[in-house]
Amino acid sequence: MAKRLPEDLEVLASNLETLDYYAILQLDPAADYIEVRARFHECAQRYHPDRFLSAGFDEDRAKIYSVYKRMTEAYRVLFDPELRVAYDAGLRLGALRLDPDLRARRLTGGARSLTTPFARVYLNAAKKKFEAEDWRGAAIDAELGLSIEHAEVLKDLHTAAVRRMVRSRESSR
Amino acid sequence: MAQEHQFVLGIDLGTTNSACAVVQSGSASVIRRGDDRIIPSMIAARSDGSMAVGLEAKRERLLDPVNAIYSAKRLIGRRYSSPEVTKMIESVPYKIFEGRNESVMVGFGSRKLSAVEVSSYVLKYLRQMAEEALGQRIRKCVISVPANFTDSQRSATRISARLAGLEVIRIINEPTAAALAYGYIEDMDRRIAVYDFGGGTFDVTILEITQNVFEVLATSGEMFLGGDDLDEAILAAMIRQFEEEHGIDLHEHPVARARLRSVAEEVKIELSEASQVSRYIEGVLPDQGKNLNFSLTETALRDLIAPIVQRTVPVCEEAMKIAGIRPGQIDEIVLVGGTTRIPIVRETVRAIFNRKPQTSINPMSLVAVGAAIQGAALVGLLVPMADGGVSAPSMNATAVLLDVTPRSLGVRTLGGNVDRIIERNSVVPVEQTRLFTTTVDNQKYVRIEVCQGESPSFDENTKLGEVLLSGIRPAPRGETSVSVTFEINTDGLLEVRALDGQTGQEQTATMKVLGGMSPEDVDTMISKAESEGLLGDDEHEGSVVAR
Repeated sequence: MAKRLPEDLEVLASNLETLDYYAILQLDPAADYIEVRARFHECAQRYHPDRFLSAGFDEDRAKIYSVYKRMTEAYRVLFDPELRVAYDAGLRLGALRLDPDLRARRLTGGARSLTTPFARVYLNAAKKKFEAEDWRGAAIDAELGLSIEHAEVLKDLHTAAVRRMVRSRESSR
Repeated sequence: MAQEHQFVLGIDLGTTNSACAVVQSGSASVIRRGDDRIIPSMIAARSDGSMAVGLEAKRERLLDPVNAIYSAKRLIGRRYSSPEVTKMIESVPYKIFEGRNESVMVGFGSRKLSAVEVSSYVLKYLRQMAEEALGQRIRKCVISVPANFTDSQRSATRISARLAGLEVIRIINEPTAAALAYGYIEDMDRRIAVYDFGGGTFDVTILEITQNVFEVLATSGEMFLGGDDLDEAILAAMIRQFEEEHGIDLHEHPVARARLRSVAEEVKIELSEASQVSRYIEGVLPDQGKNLNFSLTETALRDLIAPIVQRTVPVCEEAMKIAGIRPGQIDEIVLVGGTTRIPIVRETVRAIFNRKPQTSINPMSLVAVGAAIQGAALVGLLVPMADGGVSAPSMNATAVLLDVTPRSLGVRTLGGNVDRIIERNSVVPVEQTRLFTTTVDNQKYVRIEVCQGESPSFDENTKLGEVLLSGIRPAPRGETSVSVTFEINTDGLLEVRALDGQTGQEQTATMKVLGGMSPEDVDTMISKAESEGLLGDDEHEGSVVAR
């Protein structure tokens, strides 16, 4: 039973290489991360390959997968603040997709243990401030990170920053 | 001929026990044969050369433990040299051998079987059980696997099903299936802990469900902790009593011990309902006519097993730590596995999470029910609903399950570390591309070692196998590059493709899965099974099952 794919899916599939991440998810470039997630979930409801599994679209399998995989790629990049900054910079120069090497970014040990990208942003900010001996700033960022994700690496950094803060106050007395 | 209703069998292929379910006229039901809803995941070779499966095999084990294969799930898709297999070699009475390609074989009567074949017999038994109950041929299934199963374990499970005459339309993670059975799909932002205490393994998984996205936040477990350990504890008490009464140490008598162990299991099960259970076992040592009159109260059972049940506490705490959450942030606790029927286990769960667990669905068939619901949803038969029921499909409301990959995928670097290619918790299907360059002039092959896991050191992760890129254009080193795309599909299985970095020409990339079977091996096994009529496509098949 050869069925025809929904027209919107056909359009997405044939224009795939001309669409940027915002376009494929039909998102406003100013969308915040809550909108990104909600929009991706809507797209998944409509375009997930499971939706077409039983309906005899065997010949169109490649098309269905290529569209959906690009959607998951777009979601992964746009939902991650660090990747999104890199993507937006490239997009201004005309790169519709994030460079594959950046997309498969190498996370360092501490950052890898975090599941939410936002906690990761705070972790990195806290680390930078810690290295610059801004103990107070590091403690605040670590605490913000902890409010998102209760992770060991953030706790440790927070404890270390607070300890240094107290010590530096004591020695300045 | 009226169009047959297309059933999709939901299968929970467990380490110790298995179950299956289907969705029928709008609701999920567990397949039974007589009163049995679960069958032991066990096969046994009888001395006359025939095979016993399930409960029959469990009985055979009492007579001939060397030829009864259980816990094949611990072996499937693993390398012979892996620590888990080494541990199995030390602890099971049957023989384990190394097969081709570092795979695992077991001794079965006069022959050797792969772990994949062992599981396929259990799956075939389940299929036939369902066919008898439903009166028609079953071709499709959704099969569940632990969330932390690697690519090789998943593909080996898939091959088992093919050998059993079943097409796998989806591999689903067990905790996801458990949550689906309770219908947590349209609810907003829920965190669920799935406490899975089975016969041989303990796992706890923390899932976050946002709209229809099932995200595994953490999964931790103990490979060797389950109901069997509780049986052992009761058995130890029996052996102590026997030694006090008769002065004989039963540790030297494997057959008597096996018999008492099965009594211990019965006592354990009955004590979930009764406050005291007594058993009179005649002729413990048949030739000496020594008897044992054993009785155990629920209170005494608690003392016996409390230290074992307590071992689940740090595992749960670890999972919560990895997920970065506190007990108060968990909305529901789902119990899976027969061991969770024991009152002290339920109390322990309640103490860990400070919340009463869900118990309205039988913990032993929950995963099979969830798999059946997913199967029916995939073929468009129904829409899972929030109350655990199902309704007729309405095109716009069919929910889609978004699973994530619970382990990171990486390749070995020169220094023996891991270069991550796909991070864990990526929504599947997901693909990432990497460029590999030649390191020697006129290099013809590039070999890429692939692993799954979270350790920065390659060797501390589970090695999946190697990708071999062949037919590379001859050129000075560093001038040729191959771009390799790694994709994890909706079943959590890895697919690899490669392109010449300069010409864009497609390159041959073969994935050699360690501990797995080559496509040729699989084809040989399947055609052999077909020729023997094992796949059950012939007219006269029927109850070819063990009595």
